[in-house]
Amino acid sequence: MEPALLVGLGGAIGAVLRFVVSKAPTARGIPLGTLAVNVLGSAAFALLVFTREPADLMYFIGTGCLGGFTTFSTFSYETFRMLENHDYYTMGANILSNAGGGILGVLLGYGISLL
Amino acid sequence: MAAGGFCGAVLRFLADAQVSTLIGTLLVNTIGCVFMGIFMYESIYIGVFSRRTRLFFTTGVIGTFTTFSALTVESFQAGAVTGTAYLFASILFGLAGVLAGRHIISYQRGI
Repeated sequence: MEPALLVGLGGAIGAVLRFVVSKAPTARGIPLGTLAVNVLGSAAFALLVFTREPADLMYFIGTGCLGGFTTFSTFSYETFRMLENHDYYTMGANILSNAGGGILGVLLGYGISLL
Repeated sequence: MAAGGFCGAVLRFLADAQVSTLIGTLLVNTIGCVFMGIFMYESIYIGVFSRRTRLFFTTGVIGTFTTFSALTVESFQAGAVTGTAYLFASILFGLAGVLAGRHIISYQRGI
Protein backbone atom coordinates (compact mmCIF):
# COMPACT_ATOMS: atom_id res chain seq x y z
CA MET A 1 0.00 0.00 0.00
CA GLU A 2 0.99 3.65 -0.46
CA PRO A 3 3.29 4.68 2.47
CA ALA A 4 1.41 7.95 3.11
CA LEU A 5 -1.89 6.02 3.38
CA LEU A 6 -0.36 3.53 5.83
CA VAL A 7 1.03 6.38 7.92
CA GLY A 8 -2.33 8.17 7.88
CA LEU A 9 -4.34 5.11 8.89
CA GLY A 10 -1.86 4.40 11.69
CA GLY A 11 -2.04 8.03 12.82
CA ALA A 12 -5.84 7.82 13.04
CA ILE A 13 -5.60 4.76 15.31
CA GLY A 14 -2.83 6.35 17.39
CA ALA A 15 -4.80 9.56 17.91
CA VAL A 16 -7.93 7.72 19.08
CA LEU A 17 -5.90 5.54 21.49
CA ARG A 18 -4.16 8.65 22.87
CA PHE A 19 -7.52 10.37 23.31
CA VAL A 20 -8.72 7.40 25.41
CA VAL A 21 -5.56 7.39 27.58
CA SER A 22 -5.54 11.21 27.91
CA LYS A 23 -8.49 11.01 30.31
CA ALA A 24 -6.10 9.65 32.97
CA PRO A 25 -5.76 11.82 36.11
CA THR A 26 -2.75 13.84 37.21
CA ALA A 27 -0.41 12.77 40.02
CA ARG A 28 1.31 15.57 41.96
CA GLY A 29 0.39 17.86 39.09
CA ILE A 30 1.95 15.64 36.40
CA PRO A 31 -0.49 14.59 33.64
CA LEU A 32 -0.20 10.81 33.74
CA GLY A 33 -1.99 10.29 30.40
CA THR A 34 0.68 12.17 28.41
CA LEU A 35 3.48 10.51 30.38
CA ALA A 36 1.98 7.05 29.80
CA VAL A 37 1.57 7.45 26.02
CA ASN A 38 5.08 8.87 25.67
CA VAL A 39 6.83 6.15 27.70
CA LEU A 40 4.83 3.24 26.23
CA GLY A 41 5.04 4.65 22.71
CA SER A 42 8.82 5.17 22.99
CA ALA A 43 9.33 1.57 24.13
CA ALA A 44 7.21 0.11 21.35
CA PHE A 45 8.74 2.37 18.69
CA ALA A 46 12.27 1.42 19.82
CA LEU A 47 11.37 -2.27 19.62
CA LEU A 48 10.16 -1.79 16.02
CA VAL A 49 13.25 0.19 14.99
CA PHE A 50 15.79 -2.17 16.55
CA THR A 51 14.15 -5.37 15.31
CA ARG A 52 14.32 -3.87 11.77
CA GLU A 53 10.73 -4.60 10.86
CA PRO A 54 9.76 -4.43 7.15
CA ALA A 55 9.03 -0.96 5.72
CA ASP A 56 5.23 -1.37 5.47
CA LEU A 57 4.92 -2.35 9.12
CA MET A 58 7.25 0.51 10.08
CA TYR A 59 5.08 3.05 8.22
CA PHE A 60 1.80 1.76 9.64
CA ILE A 61 2.71 0.90 13.25
CA GLY A 62 5.86 3.00 13.75
CA THR A 63 5.49 6.32 11.97
CA GLY A 64 1.69 6.19 11.96
CA CYS A 65 0.31 4.49 15.06
CA LEU A 66 3.10 5.08 17.58
CA GLY A 67 4.21 8.44 16.16
CA GLY A 68 0.59 9.55 16.51
CA PHE A 69 0.02 7.84 19.85
CA THR A 70 2.89 9.76 21.47
CA THR A 71 2.72 13.53 21.51
CA PHE A 72 5.19 16.34 21.93
CA SER A 73 2.85 19.31 21.54
CA THR A 74 0.51 18.35 24.39
CA PHE A 75 3.53 17.68 26.61
CA SER A 76 4.99 21.11 25.72
CA TYR A 77 1.69 22.89 26.31
CA GLU A 78 1.19 21.22 29.70
CA THR A 79 4.79 22.04 30.69
CA PHE A 80 4.33 25.63 29.54
CA ARG A 81 1.22 25.97 31.73
CA MET A 82 3.29 24.89 34.73
CA LEU A 83 5.87 27.54 33.83
CA GLU A 84 3.10 30.12 33.51
CA ASN A 85 1.77 29.19 36.95
CA HIS A 86 5.29 29.52 38.40
CA ASP A 87 5.09 25.89 39.42
CA TYR A 88 8.74 25.19 38.64
CA TYR A 89 8.98 22.09 40.78
CA THR A 90 6.17 20.31 38.91
CA MET A 91 7.53 21.60 35.61
CA GLY A 92 10.98 20.13 36.28
CA ALA A 93 9.46 16.86 37.44
CA ASN A 94 7.27 16.71 34.32
CA ILE A 95 10.20 17.32 31.96
CA LEU A 96 12.46 14.83 33.71
CA SER A 97 9.78 12.12 33.94
CA ASN A 98 8.85 12.41 30.23
CA ALA A 99 12.44 12.67 29.00
CA GLY A 100 13.83 10.07 31.44
CA GLY A 101 10.80 7.80 31.12
CA GLY A 102 10.96 8.02 27.32
CA ILE A 103 14.66 7.08 27.24
CA LEU A 104 14.07 4.24 29.73
CA GLY A 105 11.27 3.08 27.43
CA VAL A 106 13.67 3.10 24.47
CA LEU A 107 16.22 1.10 26.52
CA LEU A 108 13.51 -1.43 27.36
CA GLY A 109 12.53 -1.72 23.69
CA TYR A 110 16.18 -2.09 22.72
CA GLY A 111 16.69 -4.74 25.43
CA ILE A 112 13.69 -6.77 24.23
CA SER A 113 14.91 -6.52 20.61
CA LEU A 114 18.16 -8.26 21.62
CA LEU A 115 16.34 -11.31 23.01
CA MET B 1 -10.28 12.57 16.27
CA ALA B 2 -9.39 9.77 13.86
CA ALA B 3 -9.67 12.09 10.85
CA GLY B 4 -7.44 14.62 12.62
CA GLY B 5 -4.94 11.90 13.42
CA PHE B 6 -4.88 10.80 9.77
CA CYS B 7 -4.10 14.37 8.62
CA GLY B 8 -1.48 14.96 11.33
CA ALA B 9 0.42 11.74 10.64
CA VAL B 10 0.49 12.26 6.85
CA LEU B 11 1.67 15.88 7.32
CA ARG B 12 4.47 14.72 9.63
CA PHE B 13 5.45 11.98 7.18
CA LEU B 14 5.65 14.47 4.29
CA ALA B 15 7.52 17.10 6.34
CA ASP B 16 9.99 14.58 7.72
CA ALA B 17 10.75 13.27 4.22
CA GLN B 18 12.05 16.71 3.16
CA VAL B 19 14.92 17.00 5.65
CA SER B 20 17.20 14.73 7.69
CA THR B 21 15.28 12.97 10.46
CA LEU B 22 16.94 14.63 13.44
CA ILE B 23 16.30 18.18 12.19
CA GLY B 24 12.99 17.06 10.68
CA THR B 25 11.64 15.85 14.02
CA LEU B 26 12.82 19.04 15.75
CA LEU B 27 11.10 21.18 13.09
CA VAL B 28 7.87 19.19 13.15
CA ASN B 29 7.71 19.31 16.95
CA THR B 30 8.47 23.04 17.16
CA ILE B 31 5.96 23.99 14.46
CA GLY B 32 3.35 21.76 16.13
CA CYS B 33 3.94 23.52 19.46
CA VAL B 34 3.38 26.96 17.89
CA PHE B 35 0.00 25.78 16.57
CA MET B 36 -0.81 24.07 19.87
CA GLY B 37 -0.16 27.41 21.63
CA ILE B 38 -2.35 29.24 19.11
CA PHE B 39 -5.32 26.86 19.49
CA MET B 40 -5.12 26.49 23.28
CA TYR B 41 -4.76 30.22 23.99
CA GLU B 42 -7.40 31.01 21.37
CA SER B 43 -9.82 28.93 23.41
CA ILE B 44 -8.74 30.65 26.64
CA TYR B 45 -8.65 34.27 25.41
CA ILE B 46 -11.06 34.40 22.47
CA GLY B 47 -13.11 31.21 22.07
CA VAL B 48 -14.26 31.32 18.43
CA PHE B 49 -13.91 27.56 17.91
CA SER B 50 -16.27 25.05 19.48
CA ARG B 51 -14.89 22.36 21.81
CA ARG B 52 -15.21 19.78 19.02
CA THR B 53 -13.26 21.90 16.54
CA ARG B 54 -10.55 22.58 19.11
CA LEU B 55 -10.22 18.87 19.96
CA PHE B 56 -10.02 18.01 16.25
CA PHE B 57 -7.04 20.34 15.83
CA THR B 58 -5.25 20.00 19.20
CA THR B 59 -5.63 16.34 20.15
CA GLY B 60 -6.21 15.18 16.57
CA VAL B 61 -4.09 16.97 13.98
CA ILE B 62 -1.40 18.69 16.08
CA GLY B 63 -1.09 15.96 18.74
CA THR B 64 -0.45 13.42 15.98
CA PHE B 65 1.70 15.74 13.84
CA THR B 66 4.18 16.08 16.71
CA THR B 67 5.82 12.95 18.05
CA PHE B 68 7.66 11.92 21.17
CA SER B 69 8.63 8.35 20.22
CA ALA B 70 10.79 9.39 17.23
CA LEU B 71 12.42 12.04 19.44
CA THR B 72 13.43 9.59 22.19
CA VAL B 73 14.64 6.89 19.76
CA GLU B 74 16.67 9.43 17.75
CA SER B 75 18.15 10.86 20.97
CA PHE B 76 19.11 7.35 22.05
CA GLN B 77 20.74 6.60 18.67
CA ALA B 78 22.64 9.91 18.64
CA GLY B 79 24.71 8.87 21.67
CA ALA B 80 24.81 10.21 25.24
CA VAL B 81 26.07 13.77 24.71
CA THR B 82 24.43 14.67 21.37
CA GLY B 83 21.28 12.77 22.35
CA THR B 84 20.84 14.56 25.68
CA ALA B 85 21.54 17.94 24.08
CA TYR B 86 19.05 17.17 21.28
CA LEU B 87 16.37 16.03 23.72
CA PHE B 88 16.62 19.12 25.93
CA ALA B 89 16.99 21.47 22.96
CA SER B 90 13.74 19.99 21.59
CA ILE B 91 11.97 20.64 24.89
CA LEU B 92 13.28 24.23 24.97
CA PHE B 93 12.17 24.81 21.36
CA GLY B 94 8.78 23.30 22.21
CA LEU B 95 8.24 25.68 25.13
CA ALA B 96 9.37 28.61 22.96
CA GLY B 97 6.89 27.42 20.31
CA VAL B 98 3.96 27.48 22.75
CA LEU B 99 5.09 30.93 23.93
CA ALA B 100 5.14 32.14 20.32
CA GLY B 101 1.62 30.75 19.82
CA ARG B 102 0.43 32.59 22.93
CA HIS B 103 2.02 35.81 21.65
CA ILE B 104 0.24 35.50 18.31
CA ILE B 105 -3.11 35.18 20.09
CA SER B 106 -2.36 38.02 22.54
CA TYR B 107 -1.37 40.23 19.61
CA GLN B 108 -4.57 39.35 17.73
CA ARG B 109 -6.59 40.26 20.77
CA GLY B 110 -4.61 43.47 21.18
CA ILE B 111 -3.13 42.80 24.63
